[in-house]
Amino acid sequence: MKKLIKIKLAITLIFLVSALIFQKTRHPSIINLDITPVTYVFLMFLPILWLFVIPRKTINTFPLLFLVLTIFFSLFNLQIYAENMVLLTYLSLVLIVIKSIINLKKVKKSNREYD
Amino acid sequence: MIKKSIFFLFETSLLIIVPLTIILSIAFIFLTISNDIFPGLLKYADNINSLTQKNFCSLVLYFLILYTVIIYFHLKDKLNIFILFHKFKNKEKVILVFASYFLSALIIENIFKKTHYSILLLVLMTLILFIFFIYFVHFITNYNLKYFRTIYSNLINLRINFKKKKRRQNIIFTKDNCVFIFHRYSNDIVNSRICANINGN
Repeated sequence: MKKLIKIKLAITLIFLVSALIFQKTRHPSIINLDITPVTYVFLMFLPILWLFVIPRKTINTFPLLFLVLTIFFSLFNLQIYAENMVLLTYLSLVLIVIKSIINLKKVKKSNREYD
Repeated sequence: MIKKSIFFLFETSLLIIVPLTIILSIAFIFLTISNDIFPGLLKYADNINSLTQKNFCSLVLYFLILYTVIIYFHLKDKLNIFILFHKFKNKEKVILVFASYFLSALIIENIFKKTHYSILLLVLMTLILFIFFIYFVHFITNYNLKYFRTIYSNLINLRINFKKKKRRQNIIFTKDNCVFIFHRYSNDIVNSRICANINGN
């Protein structure tokens, strides 16, 4: 295994463990976050997506996957899981929009350099 | 002999501790995320909710102290913090700062009482934990299963040394001893000649 990937994996492990402990303790000092656990999990994975630089095609598949899962859970009357999946679809769609805006800015900058 | 045996024990313990922490952390992440997204799916995941704030704090402190001792004794190339700091990218540094903040908030809430110095303490604690994490990542990335080989070689060396010591106790005139006596004798002769020359002059 390459050393750069090793460093990234170690940092993700540290970050995920610390963030999950921060969530489980429920009374953190200074910031009192009152959000649902699913949204917290989504926010927790944002820095990791930033760290690994995943291509846009793979990120675009996330909402589709979650949407299929919502249908699957609603068919078997598992409404709690289905609600969580809907939340994740919405949040992943928001992520795609933000990502596209950032890409637009990058394209504009590159065009200016060529001009 | 004692030093080597302590080092041997220390390395064997290290072989158990490092993989154990990695496996435990992965299991903790998997169970908690599954419990958040799919509540009530895994029965083992519900046991994590029973852990209180003080339990988490004591566990985190135990691991921090253990790893500070391990890193202090085991990093043979004790690198300067500024050299290590430049090896990391800006992204990685920011994520590590957030991680250190999460843990320091937990520790300060449990150990220290809430005062107007709590924010200052939090900043100091985040800095200390950030430095610790940089060393920790460096240690984990350089950790290999090659240590098995070093431990095995150490074990053989220990055995050879033990056998040598036993032999020396039984036999007085070993090769080393003979050489030592010869050198001493020859030196005495040389010294006496020099002394005689000086006296003669």
